[in-house]
Amino acid sequence: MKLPPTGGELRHNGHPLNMILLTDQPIDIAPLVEQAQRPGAGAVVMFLGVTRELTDGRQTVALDYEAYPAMAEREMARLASAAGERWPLETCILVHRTGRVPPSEASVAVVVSTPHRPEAFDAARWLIDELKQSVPIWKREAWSDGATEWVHPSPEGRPE
Amino acid sequence: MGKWGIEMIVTVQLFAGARESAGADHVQVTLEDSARFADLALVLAATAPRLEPLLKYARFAANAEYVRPEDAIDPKSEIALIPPVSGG
Repeated sequence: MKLPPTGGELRHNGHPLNMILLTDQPIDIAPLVEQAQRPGAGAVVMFLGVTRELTDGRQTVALDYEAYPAMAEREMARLASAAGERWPLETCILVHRTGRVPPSEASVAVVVSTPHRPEAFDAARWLIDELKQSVPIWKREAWSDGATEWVHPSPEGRPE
Repeated sequence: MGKWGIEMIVTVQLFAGARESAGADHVQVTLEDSARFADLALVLAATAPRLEPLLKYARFAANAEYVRPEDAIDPKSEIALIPPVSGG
């Protein structure tokens, strides 16, 4: 994937370097990990959300993702900023893919780097948990039996 | 709807399952000028009943930011129905 030279929101000079990206292309993770390297970072944690093929005996052909782009980017930027306030992040990278994501491909990447590892794990987990609660992106399941359904979980029963 | 009240026309952008249920990517409703987003939810349910299941846990956004049910509506803003999200 081609990373924009200053994609999303980039800040320097002691502040976290944040990158927010919505893309319809497959997520190329190596450049993201490279982007996360900074002199002050001793830990890089990456989370990938990947299309699962098998769910309760049903087979997924693909997940199709739709975003409300302006708001999705805005919400992701808000989460990155909030994480930077809460943890000593060197970098915070959030990438979400739109369109068709086949099994075993990533729909979302969260990459954070921090001086030490506990904060990197905590921040990455918080970011993906929050992203899944608030960012206006929706997936539609395409099952192997031909059925499709938009996933709109109710608060009590959020599927994973 | 108050017979003598000022009314406004509100366009609501629809996404995902809401768009599928409504069969359109936006819906227009008429509300009293002083209506809040909570009122918009009720009017949408009445105008487009197929949206009702999604409305239960949906939120609204104005100009790409979440709003609260008690917030006033500016009909010139870009209003969107945000049904429960499922990114990631």
